[in-house]
Amino acid sequence: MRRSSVFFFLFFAIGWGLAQNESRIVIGLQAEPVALDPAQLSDYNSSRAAMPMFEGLVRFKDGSTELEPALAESWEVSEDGLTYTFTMREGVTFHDGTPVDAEAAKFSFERQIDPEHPYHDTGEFAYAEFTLGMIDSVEVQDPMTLQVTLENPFAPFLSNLAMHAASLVSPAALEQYGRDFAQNPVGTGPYRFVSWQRGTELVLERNPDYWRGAPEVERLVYRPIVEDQARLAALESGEIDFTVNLPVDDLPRLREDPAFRFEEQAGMHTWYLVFNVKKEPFDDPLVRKAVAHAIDRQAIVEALLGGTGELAQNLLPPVVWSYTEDVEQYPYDPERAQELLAEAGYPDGFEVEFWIPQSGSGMQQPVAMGTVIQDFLSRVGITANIQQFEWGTYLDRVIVPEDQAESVPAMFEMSWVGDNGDPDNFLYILLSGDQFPANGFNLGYYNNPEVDEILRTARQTTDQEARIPLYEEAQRLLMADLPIVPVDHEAQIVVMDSSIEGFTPHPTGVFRFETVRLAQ
Amino acid sequence: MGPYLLQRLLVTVPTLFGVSVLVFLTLHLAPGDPAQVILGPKATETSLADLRRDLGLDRPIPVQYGRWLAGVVTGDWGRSIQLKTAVLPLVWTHFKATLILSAAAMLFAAGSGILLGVLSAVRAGKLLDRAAIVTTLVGYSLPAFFLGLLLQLAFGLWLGWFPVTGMYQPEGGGVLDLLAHLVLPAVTLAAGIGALIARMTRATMMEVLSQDYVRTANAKGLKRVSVVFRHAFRNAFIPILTILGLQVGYILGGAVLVEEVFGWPGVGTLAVNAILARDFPLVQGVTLLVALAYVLANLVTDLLYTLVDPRISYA
Amino acid sequence: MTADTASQTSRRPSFQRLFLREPVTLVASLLLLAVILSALLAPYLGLPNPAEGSLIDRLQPPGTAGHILGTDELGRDMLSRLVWGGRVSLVVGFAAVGFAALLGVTLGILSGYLAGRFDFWVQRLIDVLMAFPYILLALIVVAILGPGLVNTMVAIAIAGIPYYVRIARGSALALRESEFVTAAQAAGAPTWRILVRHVLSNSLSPIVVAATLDVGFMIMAAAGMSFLGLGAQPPISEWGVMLSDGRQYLRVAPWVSLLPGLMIFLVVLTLNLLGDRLRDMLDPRTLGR
Repeated sequence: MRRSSVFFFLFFAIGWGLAQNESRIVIGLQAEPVALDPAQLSDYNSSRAAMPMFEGLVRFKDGSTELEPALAESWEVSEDGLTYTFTMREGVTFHDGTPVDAEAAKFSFERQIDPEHPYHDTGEFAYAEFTLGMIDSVEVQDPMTLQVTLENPFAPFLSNLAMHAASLVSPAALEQYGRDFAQNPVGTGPYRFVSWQRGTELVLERNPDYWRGAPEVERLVYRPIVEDQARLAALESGEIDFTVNLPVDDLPRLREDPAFRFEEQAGMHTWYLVFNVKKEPFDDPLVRKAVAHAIDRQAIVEALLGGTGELAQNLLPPVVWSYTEDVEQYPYDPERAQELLAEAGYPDGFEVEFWIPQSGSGMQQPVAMGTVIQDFLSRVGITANIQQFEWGTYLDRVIVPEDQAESVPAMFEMSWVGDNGDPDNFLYILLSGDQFPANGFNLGYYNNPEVDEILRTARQTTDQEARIPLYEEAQRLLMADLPIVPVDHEAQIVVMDSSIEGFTPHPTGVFRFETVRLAQ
Repeated sequence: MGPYLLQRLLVTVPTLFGVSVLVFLTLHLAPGDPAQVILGPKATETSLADLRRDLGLDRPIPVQYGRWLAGVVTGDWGRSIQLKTAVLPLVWTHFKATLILSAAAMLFAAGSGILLGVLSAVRAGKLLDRAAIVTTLVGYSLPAFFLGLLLQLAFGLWLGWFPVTGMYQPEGGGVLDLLAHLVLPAVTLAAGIGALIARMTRATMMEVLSQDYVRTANAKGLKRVSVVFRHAFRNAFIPILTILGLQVGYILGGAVLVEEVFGWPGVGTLAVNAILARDFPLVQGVTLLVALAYVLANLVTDLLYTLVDPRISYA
Repeated sequence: MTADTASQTSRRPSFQRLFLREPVTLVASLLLLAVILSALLAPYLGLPNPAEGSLIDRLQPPGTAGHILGTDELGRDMLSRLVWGGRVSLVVGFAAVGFAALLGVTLGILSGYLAGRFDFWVQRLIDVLMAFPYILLALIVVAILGPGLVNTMVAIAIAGIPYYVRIARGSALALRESEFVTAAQAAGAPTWRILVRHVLSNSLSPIVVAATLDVGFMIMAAAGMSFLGLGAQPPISEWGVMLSDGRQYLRVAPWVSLLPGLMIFLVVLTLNLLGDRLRDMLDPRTLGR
């Protein structure tokens, strides 16, 4: 009730009574969750709301992307790296009381990747191919033993099984709700679904039977508050207790206020400019480098982002293993940029299309950043014509197969948040020659056989020590050729009421409340 | 009354037909293949083919319209692409929120507008009247999104009297909880309409006050208050009612902007997001429901009109 | 004919009275003139480029040296952005009114004068359009055309058509039976000539009043659509977008959002004030919308 208004307190006291002694955390989201089916999560707001209800066979440890057992108690990997045998944890049930067994795991995977599966039409599984596409077959050996066979060895496979789309869902609930499972989610996580009033709030309550012990905080309430200032006001008036992505310029004031606690973590995130290398003039690395030198990325990070991000020297964020800074650097140097342009045959600059989204997961301040970049480029003679899109439409327009490369602009904004903490999840997915959409997210159609060879070898090598030098070499080659310009790695800054204790941000951006206590 | 009601209802039928055709056509007027528009660019060939078959997109347009209308009448309003859920319940939940906001704004606008208008007319030419004229001019020149922002800043952020966003406290629900959240958006939405109502009330009252029977009543030495309210206002009431009826469209339209400012979970916010995401089934659902409500509101106003003044019949 | 000349003569003295005796009207007119002139002359005023800024100078308050009205979140000069924004808002407002009035009046006059089946169908069309609240109708058009500044302008103009049809049709219906029209018909004047010379010219005053009041409304509507994210796109300075984007900085730099809001308000206020005066002079009947 801190600092809440006289009027408001009055209304609240009379209208709702002071009987609310349950322990509860109210979380301010940036937008309404779309769907609560773990197989259909594609944005932070949905995953933050849904993931407390779900788990997979394995899970990331608190605060890191190292793995630990979850619904599978243990597993064995065959010598050739193709067969994984999981032993399911005994005695775990879904929130609807049905047992968690190998059959449920098989159901959860095949529902997404097998077009003939009876429940394949219960949603659109955008991450299915990406998360589980390497699976050749899934077999139930006995009720508690699951065998998964891959098409090719794939080093990050276990990490993939900790990703959202690999979560286990209750087959009984899907049978009951069909497509509406996304509004009536049933999983095994520390919290379970209570109610969802669209546009207003989503309520979860603790799962008393959670296999790792019931969490302390009884209820979680998620409220979508789109306007950043309104979310800030709600936090300050005590209407919400916990949020992220507050306006950068207001953070210094909040930091000095003892009523709030900050938790920060270097993000597994990169914000970057994509060049469509199929189009002139960005087929020429000199021009790409000129753009990098023309933009004062340090100023963007410090002034515009208020230090909420770290200047990016590389596509890979520093928190991911194998990261190296031993790559070519591109400091702000407009003169160097003009020299490079002249060398490439554009002494007077040129005009290009530049697309930006209006908002979007991980996009930070896409419009402001795009406008500043446009301004910097104009100073070296490059005219960038901005076109703005709604996030969903934007993704549809820039993630297109190679045969439609002509429709993709010469330059656009993008960001990537690591899903599983593996360097493959950045370097291979975003820049390898066989990851053009719809296979992966190499959106600028960059194709470098030398890099591809290294990345392919690395993903099939199961020994992590052996993979490190490969990824270091790939980073050096990529930054020397510069298919993208990395701008920053956003820190995850979580602001909460100081009564909330024990919260640790997770690199994947989901919120874990099962470790949290409320101080009285 | 009976035959009038029937006639009035009959006139509504072609309008409703036109409304449904226009809403249906939005999908077809948008550039591109309707199936592609509905499913988005990532749709696979099989799902496109399935949808074309389901919606009968290979059939002639009138046949498609018939099927669509049949769906609408039986409660099948399609599924939202973006929010992955059935359109009708979704739109209905949000519509209730819009209705609450609109009704509150209407009440406030009518109350303050009529009061201001009557006072202004009674005191015509005096200081109060001049002040009222300026107030109303400012009132309907203030864009709702600007006024909303000012109120948010002043009463929400600086004074902290009212919450600046949402409809209820977390897990709230009481009437008082709702009222606390309703004050700022309702006042914002009411300002422009209240000003118009005040102006028109003033004009109507001035006219009535200058008429003979009022002069007579005045001359007979009846109390001023009694003259104004017993005689004049009663006669000005019907035109004022008409004015109120005319504002329903304003309120419903203005609600879109006000909802965006205050994060009110109504159809406006839903519609804007649906348009930005090109979620046509949802756009159709929202526009259809709001238009139906508007047509209904106009019908009710007309009927009220006859109820209040039995002389009027449908000609 | 006589009615026409009569209104001509009565118009002139009232204009004089208007400006000499009413300081408020004078101030409003001067203010509007200043906004229009600065918008027209924006490129020649020596203002900084509204699309260029320095991040070091971001969010400077009004009164800062070199930035009289301060800077926005990207360090761009607020005064320059407001002036260039006025250009966009005014063009959109006037163009939308022009487009709506042209189509609406044509349709309305034809409908009122020709009557019969044509009138019937036009009325049914208008009934359907009027079954949607104004903003909703504009939203439908944007949904079809897609967001953008030009599409928004078209949308608010289309949504405004029924208003002009109603006014023009009303006048035309009345004039249709008037003596000078029947006289012209008897003299064998061609229909188009009667429509232009007699019907249109005698319907002008309510239309002009309506259009004047409508410019302010359209500017508000366009700003509203931009506020919703459906209108102007960056780096175009447009008041609605500036206000909307500035909300992010409301606490630390309220001027970024409030100044464009104030400009919209002032322009609409002056237009409404002048519209009201014009109506008092030309057309004493109240025109509700």
